[in-house]
Amino acid sequence: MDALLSNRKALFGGAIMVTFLLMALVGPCFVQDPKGFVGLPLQPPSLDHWLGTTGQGQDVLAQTVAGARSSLSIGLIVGFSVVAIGALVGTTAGYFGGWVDDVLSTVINVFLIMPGLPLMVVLAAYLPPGPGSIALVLILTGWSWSARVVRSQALSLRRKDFVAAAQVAGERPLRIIAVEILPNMTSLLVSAFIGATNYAIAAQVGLEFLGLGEVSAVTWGTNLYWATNDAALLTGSWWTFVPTGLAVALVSFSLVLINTALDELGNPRLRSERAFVQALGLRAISPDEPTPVVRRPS
Amino acid sequence: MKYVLRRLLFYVIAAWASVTLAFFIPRMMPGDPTSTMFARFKGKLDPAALDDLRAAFGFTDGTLLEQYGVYLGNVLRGELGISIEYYPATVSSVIGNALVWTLVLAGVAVVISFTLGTLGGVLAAWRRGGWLDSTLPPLFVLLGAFPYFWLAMALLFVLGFQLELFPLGHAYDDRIAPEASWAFFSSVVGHAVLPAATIVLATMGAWMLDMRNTMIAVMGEDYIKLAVAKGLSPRRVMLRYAARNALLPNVTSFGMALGFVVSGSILTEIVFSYPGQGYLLLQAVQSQDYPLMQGLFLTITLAVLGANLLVDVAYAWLDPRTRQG
Amino acid sequence: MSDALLTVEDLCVDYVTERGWLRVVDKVSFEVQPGEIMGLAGESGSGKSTIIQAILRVLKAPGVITGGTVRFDGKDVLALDKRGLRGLRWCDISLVCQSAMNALNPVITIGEQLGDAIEAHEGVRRSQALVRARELLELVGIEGSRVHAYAHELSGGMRQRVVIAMALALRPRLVLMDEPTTALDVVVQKEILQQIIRLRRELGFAVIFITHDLSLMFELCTHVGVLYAGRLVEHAPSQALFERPMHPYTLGLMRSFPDLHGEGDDLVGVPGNPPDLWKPPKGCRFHPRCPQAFADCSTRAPQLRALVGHRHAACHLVDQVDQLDQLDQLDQVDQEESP
Repeated sequence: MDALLSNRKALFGGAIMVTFLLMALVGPCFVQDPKGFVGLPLQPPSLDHWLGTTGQGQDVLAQTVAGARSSLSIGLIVGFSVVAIGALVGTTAGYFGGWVDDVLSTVINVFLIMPGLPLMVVLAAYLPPGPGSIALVLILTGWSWSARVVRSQALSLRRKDFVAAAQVAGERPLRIIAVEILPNMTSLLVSAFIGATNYAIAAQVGLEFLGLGEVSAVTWGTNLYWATNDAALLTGSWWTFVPTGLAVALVSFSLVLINTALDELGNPRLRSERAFVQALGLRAISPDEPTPVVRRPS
Repeated sequence: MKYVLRRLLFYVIAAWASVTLAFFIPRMMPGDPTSTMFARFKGKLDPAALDDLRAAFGFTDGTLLEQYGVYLGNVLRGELGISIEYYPATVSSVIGNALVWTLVLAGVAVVISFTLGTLGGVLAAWRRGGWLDSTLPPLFVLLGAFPYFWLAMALLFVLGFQLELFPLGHAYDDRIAPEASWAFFSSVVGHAVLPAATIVLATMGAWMLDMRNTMIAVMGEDYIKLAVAKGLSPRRVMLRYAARNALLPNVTSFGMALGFVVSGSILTEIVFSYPGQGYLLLQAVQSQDYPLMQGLFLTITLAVLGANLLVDVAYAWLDPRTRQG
Repeated sequence: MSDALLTVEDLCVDYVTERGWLRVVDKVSFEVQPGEIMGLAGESGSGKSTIIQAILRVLKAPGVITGGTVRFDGKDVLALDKRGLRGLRWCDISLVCQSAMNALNPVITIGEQLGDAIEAHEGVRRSQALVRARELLELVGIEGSRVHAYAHELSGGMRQRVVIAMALALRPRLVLMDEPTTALDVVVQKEILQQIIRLRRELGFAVIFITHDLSLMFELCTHVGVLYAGRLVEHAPSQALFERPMHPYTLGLMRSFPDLHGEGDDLVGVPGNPPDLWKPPKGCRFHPRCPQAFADCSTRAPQLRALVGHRHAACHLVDQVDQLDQLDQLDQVDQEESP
């Protein structure tokens, strides 16, 4: 944790994420009613409406803040479910191997290779619109990626001594998976969760932008849906789509930053390389550079 | 060869799985979406035509298995039913017209993005921590954080609406007849620049980071050290030894990511009213044109599978170990 | 001895890490005469590979050369820039990597890999380089037509020969061999070694040969240096060393043999483990494992001292007494020790 706090990327990414989580939790209490008709439509930012108004005369700031709640909560729920399913399928495939792995791997790869959006659209079009449907669709189309990463990790853990020891000791497979294998891939699961949350937020925004969400709800996706429907580009009202887009991008960027930072912390080579560059005052490391000569008394 | 055959088998399975999925989705859904679907046809179609359509979708009176058989046969013959929105055109013909545009736009954009991104990754990794490595990856990660279609909106707003540098939408100027003329060709290119640029900007970073990371892994190999010890030119070590090897895993992830990229480019098409698959998909969603939606799902999925097969062939050709194995 | 091909003097190498600077090669000095095979022995982590990579300046981060000189044919290698090094590399000094498995680029033909060094240094055309590549393969007993083969199509032994052929492409005067036979089975090992001996006789290059298999070294080398924890503890003509090792560590090494995999990290003859270089033992670095250690060993580090017969050793046992007495004493110790 100390290391995490001393990493600039982690700190920056974490700060953005915490800000948005706070905004999602308590933000709606401080802004106007996001659905209410509070002013003339398509007004540019002013003192009354810091980020202007939408084509329906709603407050953009209020909509952006209110959108965070639903978008983030669905993102986190989907991210968690995707990793849970991925862990279940991935460890089963990786641990048991043989035909179980063959079958599951094929299923994983089929889902992985299918383009997500058209499948989501078909699914979402048949389901009643709403956050539940969106979440379900995102989980169905998103689990395969984490299953794939978990599987390859499980495959390599299976060959480790401590797993063999547990097998010899007569532990049941389920217990070995739960006690020996899963705890040993915590960092992988965390990074898969962050990646899946990122995916879920982006995909949700995309689906809702298409009009497949509940268009009367206030989410980041529907904000953008209404912005295009109300001809934001034609009327030059950039304030109706810029704030929401920036919010989505900031959240996604912060998640990527956190994941990169975790990656760096778990990679000692990367850290020692940094120490090397700093100690020698180098600008870059390249295979082409001859071993440096720094005269130094012992 | 064995490798390509094995992959081919996988694609057959994947294609079968998607076709089957498209069959079962309407039948597994809560409520009765199929009757809603056919209800929308009523008034547009005479009862005989409606029965034909039911049959085309396999909604016959037979058992589920019989229905499935009819449906598979139809799909194999390329009969995807009739579009509601474009009635009485068949789904296949509607999709066929739009497919060219998507293939050209997404194809060109993806190739440009992969090439530039890979090259950027090679250069960044070669001088790790250098100025290229410390500026480009963060910049593209930030760009990649925006939804594709939002980037498209921003580009269109600034360069199209405000600065009027680019056309505002469509694949070519309506006043020009679509024929093999220079005017038509340049119009097509002019209209494709912004949508393609959006896809390139949004996806380049991912290729670059991927390539950078595999490059760094490859650069730890003994053969790189030996190539340097041989006194070869840095360019040769970088390209022929490091990049040539790092490209292999990157080609695989290229195939894996294609579906994702296509999804993004579909949303981009919508913003630019580009008459491709994405634009059709929006139409289908807005008019609840289920046959068109399913047809699009199948077409796009099969196109991605086909592209992946090409990628696999390229991989087999690039890697001598699979070329002969 | 100014006619030496390679002179390494007081070479120091550090690894720069988060914890600080770690001295992994400490003031190592030796010479290589034209045409001789010089051996470097020691457990893994003793600094053998680090030394030869430093000589070519291909040691990667976190390695840094922190002192000493390396002269090749009078040229100061540590003062050379990139350009100068490219001229030195392969034309004068070439390298045979530890694992032939990873030493060959898997995606280009071995012909191209043999030829590209020739192309780069002699500016010949590709077709000509390929002809030379064929000759090189034939030199190490592989059919010339195999220039079109890829690494994965060759057996381990063949790959190692290709790597050796590659090292000889430009007829260098010094070939650095980093455990060239470790990953191979005994029969192939023998073949490769004989080939190295034959090639050296024909072409007259000098070799620095690294291994932890001392018996192999006595067969091959004219001089042998023994490294322990980054320091040279003994250096002598191979025959003399074989007959009468002066340093207890050398004796231990000679009594142990590599395990079946050829890894040989567990040295039967020397109980215990090599020291943690972050906290090297005071005095002689070997004293915690030394069966003959006495009080002085843990307080004062012995210097590498010249002895009769071009021998050097760093041990208080040697320092303590007159050289001839000392040899007798070692003999006794030897007899007491061995059952």
